[in-house]
Amino acid sequence: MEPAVVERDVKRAYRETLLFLVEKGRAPHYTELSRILGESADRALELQHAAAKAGIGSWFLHETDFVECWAPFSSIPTNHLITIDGDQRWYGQCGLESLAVTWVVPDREVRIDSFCLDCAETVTVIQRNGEVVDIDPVEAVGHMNEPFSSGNWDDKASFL
Amino acid sequence: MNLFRSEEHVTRWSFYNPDSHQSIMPAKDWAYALGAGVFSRRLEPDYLDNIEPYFEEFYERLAELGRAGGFWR
Repeated sequence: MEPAVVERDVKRAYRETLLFLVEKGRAPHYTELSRILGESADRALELQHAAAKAGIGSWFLHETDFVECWAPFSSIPTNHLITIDGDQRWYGQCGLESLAVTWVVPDREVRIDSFCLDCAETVTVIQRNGEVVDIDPVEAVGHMNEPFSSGNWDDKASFL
Repeated sequence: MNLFRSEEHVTRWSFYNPDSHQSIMPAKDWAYALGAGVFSRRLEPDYLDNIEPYFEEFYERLAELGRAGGFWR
């Protein structure tokens, strides 16, 4: 598979949006991103949208320029609470992406408390550096209700 | 894409799609699959250039877990 070539500024917008989420627990508005990138607000808006399009699992609240999700995080509360080194400030985009949060916070403990859609009780997973340290209950499973091949990852249906 | 307390909780969930049964895997197996580059290398400066090859790693890991076919790609 040949690598794609993505504009350098788009790659930077993608990474800085994710780093902001890692630090603050929410995505940056494009005006905040403009200050980080040293670009005009209009250019930052353009770059953030291009970065979302180039990545996977990144999108904006319907008909707005507010970031809703930037995988593996959600910028709005979900049923997937993420606690990093004891601080519950983040939300996972979905249950499975929550299991990928560990990769953007190396050497830190990630605790996922995800509310089961059937019984509303929690599934807890603790990870560090990609390794699963603990799961409660041990019978916990992950599931996607729509075919992954549908490519419909940015649609609500893929989360149900 | 959700975490459930057990397979039984998935299949009795009101919105469960029976065609999706093959996606039910232990959370630990999903964590292994989510270690593929497409999910684990997001902070690399050139990540966006490499999404497609990194996606291949995901499919390879799913195949190791016995998950292949039209549901996945």
